[in-house]
Amino acid sequence: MKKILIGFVAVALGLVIGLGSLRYIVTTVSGEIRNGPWITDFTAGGTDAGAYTRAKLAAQALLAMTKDQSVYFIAETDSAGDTLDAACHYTLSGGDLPTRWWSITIYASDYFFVANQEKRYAISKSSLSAQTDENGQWNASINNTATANLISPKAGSFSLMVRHYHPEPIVSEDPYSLKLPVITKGECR
Amino acid sequence: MKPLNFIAIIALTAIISHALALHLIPSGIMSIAMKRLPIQGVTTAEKGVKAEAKIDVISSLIIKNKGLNVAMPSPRMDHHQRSIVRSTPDILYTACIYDLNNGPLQLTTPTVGGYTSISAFADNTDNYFTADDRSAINGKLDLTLVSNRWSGDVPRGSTAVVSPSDKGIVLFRVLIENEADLDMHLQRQRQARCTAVKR
Repeated sequence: MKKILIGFVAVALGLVIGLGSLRYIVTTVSGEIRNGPWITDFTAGGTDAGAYTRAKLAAQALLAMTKDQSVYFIAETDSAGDTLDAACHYTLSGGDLPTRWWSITIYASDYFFVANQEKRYAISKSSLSAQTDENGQWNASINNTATANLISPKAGSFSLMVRHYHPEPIVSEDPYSLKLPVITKGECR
Repeated sequence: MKPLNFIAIIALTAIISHALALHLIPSGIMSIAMKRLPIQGVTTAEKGVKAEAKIDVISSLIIKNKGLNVAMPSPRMDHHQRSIVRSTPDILYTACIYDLNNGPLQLTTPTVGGYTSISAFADNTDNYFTADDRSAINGKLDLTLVSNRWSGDVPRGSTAVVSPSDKGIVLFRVLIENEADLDMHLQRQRQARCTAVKR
């Protein structure tokens, strides 16, 4: 009887380790390509994607397209490496990107839009055109007030995703050279 | 039980459960999406019919086909949408949840007016095919989705696309580059079609 009980404990521990480690891997943003806080995986969506990439994609970005069509970079930290925290205000600064069109979307920790009546879930090449200076540079605010360009959740962590539609070859040939937006932390509550 | 056996059971269970779940996650999540999207499409169509007090062709087809093998234009994405993670409000999505057991499907959409694409996903999440406005002929994409067992002719002017699985999801995307053109893009979205090929 004691042996059976110990066996059950061993199986239960094995399940916790096996499934727990998979849950951690699948819900964590990672990829071979890292540019500042931005991470991508060029095999995502493709038929050559590995088992972990496929599982992560299913959990975090189902129905994403392959890199010839769209390239996605995800950030879960600011440019200093700190986790994006809804208790803080952030400034996003950047310029134009080498692609037909681009946008940056904010997601709550469950990967869905942050609920807000203003529907400020995304900024884009078009929406920022009015606030782009003569050098092509722009700034956008991220916080949980109604006037922010991107409204963050009331609490918890969040993530950002840059989408490049019809990226120029440089995006996949030399992703480390891209000047992706800088995420700067401001005041925290 | 010997300590070594205890550790061996833990290790073996961990490895097997990890590998098994890793293998099942993509098809499991796709399966959930393929069940949820038709229900959501039918509900949206029924709500639209109720609100407008009349039935249009698209809603009629969605309801009749129970959301399967039919183009279902989604309302613009917002925080009420809880079916697909990390979608974007810049895109107008139209989904066609397909089952090719009853034959091929013809997929068409006009492409004039900005970025437009048709992408096809197998039941394991693979994006095995995408065509966009840059590859369109005469301002239109015209594809015929067939199973890998199928043999026959596709409609004239249409390009055959072989699906690696009988079931999957086709997603039409229309990009809203400028909010000022939203009505035009909504019209473009509603012209996407996913229809059974007549024999």
